[in-house]
Amino acid sequence: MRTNQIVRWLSSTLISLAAIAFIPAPGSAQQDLLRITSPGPGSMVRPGDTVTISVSADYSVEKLALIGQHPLGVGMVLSGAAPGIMGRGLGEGRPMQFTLKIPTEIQPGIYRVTAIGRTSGGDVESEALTLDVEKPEPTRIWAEPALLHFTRVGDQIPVRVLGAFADGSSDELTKSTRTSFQSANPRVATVNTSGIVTAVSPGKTTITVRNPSLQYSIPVRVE
Amino acid sequence: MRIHSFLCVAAVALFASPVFAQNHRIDFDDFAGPSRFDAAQPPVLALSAAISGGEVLRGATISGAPRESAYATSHECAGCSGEISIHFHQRVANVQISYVSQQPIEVRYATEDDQGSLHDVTLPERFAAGSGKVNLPDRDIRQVTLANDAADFEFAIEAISFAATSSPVLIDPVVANLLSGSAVTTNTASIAAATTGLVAGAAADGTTQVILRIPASTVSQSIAVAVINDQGAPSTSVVNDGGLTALGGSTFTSTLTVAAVSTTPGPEAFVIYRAPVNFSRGTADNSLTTRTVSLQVTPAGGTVTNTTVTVARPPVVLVHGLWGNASSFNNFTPLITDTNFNVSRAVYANTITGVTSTTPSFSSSVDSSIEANSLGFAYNAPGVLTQINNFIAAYRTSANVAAVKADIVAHSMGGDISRTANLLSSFLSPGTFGAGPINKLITIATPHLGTPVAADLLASNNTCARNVLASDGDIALQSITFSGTTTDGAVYDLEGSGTGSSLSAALASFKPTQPFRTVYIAGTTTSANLKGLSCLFCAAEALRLLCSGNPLASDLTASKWNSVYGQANDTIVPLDSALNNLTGLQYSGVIHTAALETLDFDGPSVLDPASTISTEVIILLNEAPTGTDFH
Repeated sequence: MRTNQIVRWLSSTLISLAAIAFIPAPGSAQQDLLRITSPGPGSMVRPGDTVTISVSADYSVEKLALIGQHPLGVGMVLSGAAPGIMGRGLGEGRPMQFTLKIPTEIQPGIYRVTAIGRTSGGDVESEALTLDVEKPEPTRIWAEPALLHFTRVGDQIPVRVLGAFADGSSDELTKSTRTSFQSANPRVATVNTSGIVTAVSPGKTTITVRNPSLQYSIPVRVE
Repeated sequence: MRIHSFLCVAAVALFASPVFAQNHRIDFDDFAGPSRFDAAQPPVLALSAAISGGEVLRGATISGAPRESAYATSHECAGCSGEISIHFHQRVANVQISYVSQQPIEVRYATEDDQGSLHDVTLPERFAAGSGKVNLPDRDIRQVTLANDAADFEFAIEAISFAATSSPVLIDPVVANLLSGSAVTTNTASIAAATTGLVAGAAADGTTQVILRIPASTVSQSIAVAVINDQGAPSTSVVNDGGLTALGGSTFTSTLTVAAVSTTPGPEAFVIYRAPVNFSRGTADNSLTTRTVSLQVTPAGGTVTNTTVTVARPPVVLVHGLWGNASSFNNFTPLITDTNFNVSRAVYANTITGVTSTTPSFSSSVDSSIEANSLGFAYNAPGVLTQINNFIAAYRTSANVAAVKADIVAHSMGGDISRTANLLSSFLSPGTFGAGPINKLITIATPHLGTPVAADLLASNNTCARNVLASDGDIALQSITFSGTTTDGAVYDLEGSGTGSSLSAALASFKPTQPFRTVYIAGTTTSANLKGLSCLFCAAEALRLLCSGNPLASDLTASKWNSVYGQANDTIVPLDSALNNLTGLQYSGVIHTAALETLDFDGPSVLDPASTISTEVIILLNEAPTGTDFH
């Protein structure tokens, strides 16, 4: 065994022992042992892109996988001799690289990617990386329902935003970071950043959605 | 000569139907639209008029001035015409159209005589560019056309006002606020004063009612009303053609005689028409969007008139399941692209904010991403019920028919949430005539009796598998506390053996009888749906490797997965549970949801076209609720 291997084995063993000494409660995470170092949070990607994601993992992480929020799936190990999905911790300064294919059939919006590993002391999980999946600007947008009719103050109805694109496709844009919502009269109805409209008091108003330069309005009636 | 003229005037006064006093106004405020020209829309239906040729714009600048809402056309609008046409469902008078135009416009209209023949009129003057009003001098008008023959045409209608003449009209008592409790009011003064709710027909759900408002010549004049079927013959079927009753009545028949009463506008009579039980009476109706019946009115000593009633399909609302959203139905063709149906999607997938704790616990990044689709039936049912009611209201506006019920097509937990909505006190609302807003409930792969995998997901020996699935967005909750509220998780509510025992409290609370008819559709897998689990560089393998020792991870193989259920299943829901221990429709070779394909199960899912379940749902939407497939 070479010297550097011995050092690495010792480090790994010590950290593993430390992990055993502080076994986490079920479901909790030891995020300090596992970190996604690149790309940065909120990085914008397009459907069809292949993203390279670097994960820094402690030696104690014996098994390591990259899990994307549905429908991203699992990452493939880029570094290493053989293709696979399972990596392991190589220590600080030696991040593992994974590739993650962004499906072509994916709705624009924020998606989480998490590195999950296993040590002899239990499961470890990184802080989630957020990827902002966006398509080119739509040529047309619209919103559903076509009318918001509240019979009770306090009721809530979500608005869906949809868009048509130059390539002939259409998709939901409700969770796109480029989509925004605005009420013409918040004293009648408010709308939050997710498109949930809340009836506030009887009257009429409109909810306008934008993405980003196109806009579409739907009428609101509160009885 | 003088005597002859006098008699003629007297006869007109006695027998010609009077004009209703109230003006109706269409202002497009109830319609959605973009802020700039886009593409031609299907005809806008409002107050029993159909407007076509352009599209509704909102917040647009037309002719240099901002307009809140307008019906507009332009050379820049794809498919739009240089003419905007208005077709009235009945004869009207006092027509006034407010317009704005870049160029002068021509106005044409057609009047209808008592024999039903149309007579075309073109106004001699062209109306000036800019803002203006067109007042038509005639009555008995059925069609109006505004035309602009400029190459760069651009003009809009901001409002149309008119008064109905000669024919009886149909009023939606829900929109016109003419209900007393769950029944149509018997207050004739209120009905006669109604200025809203003019409709062209009713949705065929056996519940929706409209008021036929009939102008009369004298108080106490006897007026006979008969339902005429679409073959032009007197109806013999209240079930197929709808039925009539008097104000305050509850027995519906194909013919009825009422007496005119005194109202402020003059003598009038009122009859309630209730829609047919089902839209389709057989295969001939299956390809139709609407059909018609007519209400023949025969006043004693007066002229017979026929009022056409559009019989429409009830709207359809799709309700997704656990961890799903509106896009769960993106591939549910052919139903979602079938223009015979008005299909909307309820959604409960908003991100939950202010999460302070969950059981089981997760990382903070998972906590911040929990969506409503991970929460239980009781949390989501009120919102879904609100959405169903709203979709019905939106349909009333877009189709210009009365409607109080929707057909619900629910996937997975969406069926449980729909049944939970039935437990809410607001379900049997007066606005649905006390019948509730669900017409038919078609459940697809719904765990009516729970699923064993729910308890497995919450078990402590599956913590690793639960955390990996949570990273994928599939968050299994027993309970959650957020913004000071604690509520059950969806997976907790879905606990049950799948055979009828060990039901969660939420599943056990369902009523044995419901005010709607239900169809149960179940899927089952074959070995072909599980063979993908034998993969190596895949999510299933990641779960097995990361979570070795967790029973769920160990069972995630082609040979073991069925052992979780001990009976046929669709990978998530046991067969007995999807059928609610009753008879239903079974589809083999399908999996529960397309989302499972990322866990390396092989489709098609029950919502994929290849399953053919969507085609089956269309058949069921056509089938009468008394049909053999319904419970």
